Amino acid sequence: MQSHDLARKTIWSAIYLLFILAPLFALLAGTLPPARGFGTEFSVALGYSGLAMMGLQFGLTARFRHVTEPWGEDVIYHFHRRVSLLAVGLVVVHPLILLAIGSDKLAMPASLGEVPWGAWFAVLSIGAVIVLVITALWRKQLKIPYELWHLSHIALALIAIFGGVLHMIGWGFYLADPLKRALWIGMTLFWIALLLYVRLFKPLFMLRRPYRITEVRSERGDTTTLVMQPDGHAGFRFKPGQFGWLTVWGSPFRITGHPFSFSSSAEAAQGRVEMTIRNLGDFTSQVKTIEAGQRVYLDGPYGAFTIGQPTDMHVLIAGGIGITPMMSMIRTLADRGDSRPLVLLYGGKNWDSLTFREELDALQARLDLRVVYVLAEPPQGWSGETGHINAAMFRRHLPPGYADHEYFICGPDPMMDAIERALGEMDVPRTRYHSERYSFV
Amino acid sequence: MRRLLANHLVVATGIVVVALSLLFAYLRAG
Repeated sequence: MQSHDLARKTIWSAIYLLFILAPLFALLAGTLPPARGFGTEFSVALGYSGLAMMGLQFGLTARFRHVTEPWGEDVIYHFHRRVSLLAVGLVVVHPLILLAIGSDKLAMPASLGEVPWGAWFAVLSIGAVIVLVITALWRKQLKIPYELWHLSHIALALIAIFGGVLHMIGWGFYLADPLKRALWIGMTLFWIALLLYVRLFKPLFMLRRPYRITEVRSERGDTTTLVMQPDGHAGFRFKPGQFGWLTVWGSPFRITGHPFSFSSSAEAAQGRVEMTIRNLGDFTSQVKTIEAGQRVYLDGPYGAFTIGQPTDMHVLIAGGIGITPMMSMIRTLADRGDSRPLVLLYGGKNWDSLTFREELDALQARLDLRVVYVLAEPPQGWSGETGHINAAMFRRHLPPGYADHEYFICGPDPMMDAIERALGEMDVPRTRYHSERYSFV
Repeated sequence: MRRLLANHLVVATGIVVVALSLLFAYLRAG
C-alpha cells in the first residue's frame, strides 16, 4: 500500500512537472528565431513556466480522485495555495529580469498608441494575477463573501491566463511558429477543460444523481446530523473517513459546495449517508434549519484518510467535530464485526459538548473499544483526562509497541500539530499515522 | 506536518522549474 502510494505520488509529480516544462522545451524544436541574451531567455522561460503553472492550478482543484488520493485533499489544496505564489513570482520576475538587464523590450514608445498589443496583455495578465493573490491571501480581512470571492477568483485566473497567452502570441517571437502557437493554444484549451470538468460536467452529473434529506438530527455540542438517501439512483460506496462536497441550497452549478466527512457506517444499506455538522458560523449555522424532504447534491467520496491497512490496533485521535470521520470508522468496524482493539482519544471543551458520547459508550459493547475522553473544561469531580491530548496520555492509555499501531488524527490545526510532534517523539514512523485537516478550504 | 509536506513540494517544484528554465536559457543563448 505504502509503496503503491509512493509510486502514484512519483508518477503524478512527474506528470505535473512535465505539463509545466514540456511546452517550454517544445519551443526549442524546429526552426528557431535568432538567439537573444542569456538573461532574456531565462526571463522568458520563467514567464512560460509560470503561466503553465497557473493553468495547471485548475487541475489541482478539479477533484480528480486518482491525483488527490495518494496525498490527501488537504495537502493538494495547500499545495494549490502555496504554488500559486511561486507561479505568480515567476510571472512577475519575468519583466523584472528584463528591467534589470536593461532590455530594450521594456523601452517605452513615444506614445501609448505605439505600445504593441502583446504588451498590453502582459500588463492585463500581471494586474489580474496581483489582484488574484491579494484577494486570495486576505479574503477574510477584505470581508469578501466566499461565493463572490470564488467567482472572482476564477474570473481573474481566466483573465491572467488568456492575457498571458495573448501576450506570448502578440509578442510573436517563439509563437510566431504556427505549430508552437497551436501547442500553447491547445494547452490553454486543456486548462479551460479542467475548469469545465469541475464546474460544468461534475455538476451535470450531480444534477442527475440528487439526494433527499430523510432526517435532521440534533446532536450534542450545537451539532446537526443530516441523513441523506439517494433519490432515484443507487448512490456511491465510500470508505470510512472519506468526505464529500455538500450543496444544500441552489443547484450544483453554484459555487456553494462545502466539504464534510461522512459520519455514518460505510456498510449502511441503500446508499444512505450521514454528515454531522457543527455550528461554526457561516454556512454551518444554517444547517439546523434544513428540513426533511429537501433535495441536496453530494459530490464524493474523496480523501485518503481511511482505514484498511494491516495493523494490530487502531488509535483514533479526535478533537471537537474531528470526531465525525472517526465515528464513521467505529460504526463501520462494528458493522463488520472487527475484533481488533480500538482506542479513541476524544478531546472536547466540556462533557456536554461531546458529540456521539452516548453512542460511543453503547458501541463499546460491540467492539474491543476503549474511549478516553479529554476535557479542556472538566466538571467538578471529573477523574478523567484533562487539558489537551498529549504524548503522556498515549503512554498511559496505549499498549507498548507504539510503532505497530495505526493512528488517525482529525481536529483543529494546533491540536494536530501537537499530536504529530508527540507521535514523532514516540518514534512512530510517518507511514503509521494519518491526518486530515478539516479546515483545508 | 501536512502543510509542511505541501510546502516542501512547492519548494521542490520551484527548484526544478528554475533549474530547467536556466537550462533552457543556456541551451538557447549558450
